[in-house]
Amino acid sequence: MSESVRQTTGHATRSEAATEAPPLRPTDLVGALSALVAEGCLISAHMLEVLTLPVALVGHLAVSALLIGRYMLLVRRGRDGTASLLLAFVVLAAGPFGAIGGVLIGRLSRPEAADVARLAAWYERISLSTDLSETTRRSDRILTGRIANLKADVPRSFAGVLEHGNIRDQQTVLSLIARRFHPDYLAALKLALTSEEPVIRVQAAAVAAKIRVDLATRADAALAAAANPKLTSDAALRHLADAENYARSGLMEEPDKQRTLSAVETFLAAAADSFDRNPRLIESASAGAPLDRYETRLLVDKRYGDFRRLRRARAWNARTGTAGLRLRIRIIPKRAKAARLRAQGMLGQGAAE
Amino acid sequence: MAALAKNFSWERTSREPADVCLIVEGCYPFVPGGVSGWIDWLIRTQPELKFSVVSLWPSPKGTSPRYEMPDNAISFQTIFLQDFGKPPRRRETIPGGIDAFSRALDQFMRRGGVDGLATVMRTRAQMTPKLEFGRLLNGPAAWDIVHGMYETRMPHGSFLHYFWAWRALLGGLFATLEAPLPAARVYHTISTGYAGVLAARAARETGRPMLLTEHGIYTNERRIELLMADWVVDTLDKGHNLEDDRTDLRDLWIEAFEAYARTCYEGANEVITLYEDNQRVQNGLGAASERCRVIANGIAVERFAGLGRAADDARPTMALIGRVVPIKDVKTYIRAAHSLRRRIPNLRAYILGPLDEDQIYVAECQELVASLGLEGCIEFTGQVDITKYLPDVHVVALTSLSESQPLTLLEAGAAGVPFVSSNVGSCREIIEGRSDELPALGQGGFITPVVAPEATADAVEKLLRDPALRRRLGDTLRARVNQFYRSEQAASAYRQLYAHYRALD
Repeated sequence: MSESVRQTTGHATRSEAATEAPPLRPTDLVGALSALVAEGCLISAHMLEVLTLPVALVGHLAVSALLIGRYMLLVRRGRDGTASLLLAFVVLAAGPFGAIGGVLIGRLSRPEAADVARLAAWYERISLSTDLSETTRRSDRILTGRIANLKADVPRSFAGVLEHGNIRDQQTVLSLIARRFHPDYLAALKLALTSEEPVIRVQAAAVAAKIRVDLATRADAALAAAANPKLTSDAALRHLADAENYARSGLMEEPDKQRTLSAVETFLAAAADSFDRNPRLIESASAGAPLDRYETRLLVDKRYGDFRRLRRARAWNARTGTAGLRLRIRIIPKRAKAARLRAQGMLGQGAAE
Repeated sequence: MAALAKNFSWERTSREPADVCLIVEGCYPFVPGGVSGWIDWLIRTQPELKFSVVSLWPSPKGTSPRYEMPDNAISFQTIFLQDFGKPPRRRETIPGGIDAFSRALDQFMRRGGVDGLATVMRTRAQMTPKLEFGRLLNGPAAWDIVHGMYETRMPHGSFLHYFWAWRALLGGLFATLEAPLPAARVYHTISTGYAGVLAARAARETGRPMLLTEHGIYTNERRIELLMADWVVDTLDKGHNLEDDRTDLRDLWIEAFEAYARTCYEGANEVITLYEDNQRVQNGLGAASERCRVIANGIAVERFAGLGRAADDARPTMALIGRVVPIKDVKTYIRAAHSLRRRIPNLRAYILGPLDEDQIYVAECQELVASLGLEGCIEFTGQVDITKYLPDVHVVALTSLSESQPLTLLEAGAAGVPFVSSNVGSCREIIEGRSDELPALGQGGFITPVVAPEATADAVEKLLRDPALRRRLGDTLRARVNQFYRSEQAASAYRQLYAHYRALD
């Protein structure tokens, strides 16, 4: 077995092996008692000078040989002969005392059915099952070297592979999109749907069908995350942008799409209404489409000052985004509206304070 | 095609050699429609030949024949791929020569090929004692084999996962290599995969010719399925790196199916497919160009020739003809109907096809219909005789994600109904004509992208609103089907093929 597997299985097997002795079966116990009687008779016969020492020793060897023969029979039948072999050795080494030891082992050891829960946990562990906690799985992966190759080159862009890669790589990219879906991959998926290569088109369609099933779930999760009062407004807007991307992907079912877009609009409208008095912090004005519509709303409300500040912040962040210089925008929503929104769970904590 | 029902008796057996032994996997006679329908058609259109049928199926579950056994089918045999045998009652000794057998298996699972298959069979025969595959898979020898292959292929991966994947893969392979072969003059497999391996083995052991007809490309379909499957665990974290060449379970499965395909392509005297574009994929997977040929599907055009067309003033009606299963992407059709109903309020949209294959998907489709408020517009009819519906249908639409050469397209064409289809399989070739069509007949409908409900709706709307265009395209499609896709043309091509190979000594 390879080192990696030995490492993985090591956790579980050590504890199991330390506590369990090979149990004697009832037939082993009968064998031990018979050996005890036979060895006792031989010793008694020798002490009473009925048998000479060589004859008694031959008898002793014969008893041991019978026990070894029994062991071989068990093995041939595909059964566990460990206890039987152990008994044969102790009888061979210590005669009747060995047989007494065999009887004692038989009486003291209580064969137990394996603990099913423990076995199941053990199996989960060594199989690196998906039911393992993330921490345990990561730890195991690091221990066994099943992590990503950190020395590898930076992964190629999905769009690049889909435009210029070979079919095998394109298929692998599509499988990654299906299994590790992120809204940012939608553009690549759309590219694949219009590929010149029928094989790729077909697989892209299958990926789209698979993703479509859980887009609504993902959008709901993004909306729920956006409403988390502990989030900064910027993070909330990012979740909203994700939800909107899912909805506008062209892959979501129509009713789900309308429901998601409506929820995004409601959230933004409520947020915009509140940006009058209370401090509302947008840490990086880069949340995309929702922020575009927020700008539109500022214009409709004739809040040109806020609009100009937001525009400057976005332009600044667009220029310096990678350098880590981020401009914070502070907009003051009305206290009363903010309190109402907080009560409705629509705004983050920061907006309500 | 025979009536589709359940529980037909398929117990006929014969020791007489068949003219043709058909080897099929996962379809006939247990699944209705699609390739099964084609196999049934093939047997019935060659009444002068005697057929035997070997059907590969996962397990004894779900084996109610859905077709009546044709009169000229003289024997039938089922091989269960997930029948792993039973553990030996007595402890087996490890046979001599197990290492050579293990190495041969490893090579075969990686590279395939007729020689690889021959080496597997030879090393297995050289083992002493020679064990049945079932005993080999369940005895101590299995440990030696799996251990050796694991160390070679996936020493960095999870052994337990490897073990179960190995067992599933080899269980199917061993069942294929162990199964008794019916005597026949020609072996004809309808896919690569396990059926392809069995056919290659039959050809090698009997010295008789072997033919392969692929409708879809089996290896590619398995590849897509495996790449996206959630049931295959990633035991390695490769991130998004395409260059990481460590083998994981997914690679193992794909490699095995590609190896099986290579074996089948190498062993086949002829590799037949339904349209030219498929040949390119087959060549990429190892099929030699000189053995490849196209025999298009055909239909009995006279069955549809006399059907009337829907009147111009009748309720605007479109139809999707096919099983309600994910591969047909019925949801895109429903979304197209939703979009179209906004433009044509009295639209009627039929879904004509069996509803019993994937009931979860059917329920999802029905929920979608309800959520879009299309109950009065869309009608799920279940399995029907389409000749009773086509006279009421103005346009037939197909939104499939994958097809080879859909019979529904030919049937609608024979009835003179224009067609809107997603760009899959040979649909473009049938609707727009092959590049070498002389004289060029013109367009018989519209091609749309896959998963594009709006594009489908636009194309259907164009045809619904313009009776003259509808008639013209319907006539063109009918002319093309009559000229190139007649059942007797396909039947005749197979008759000649069988005659040629049966005569070979």
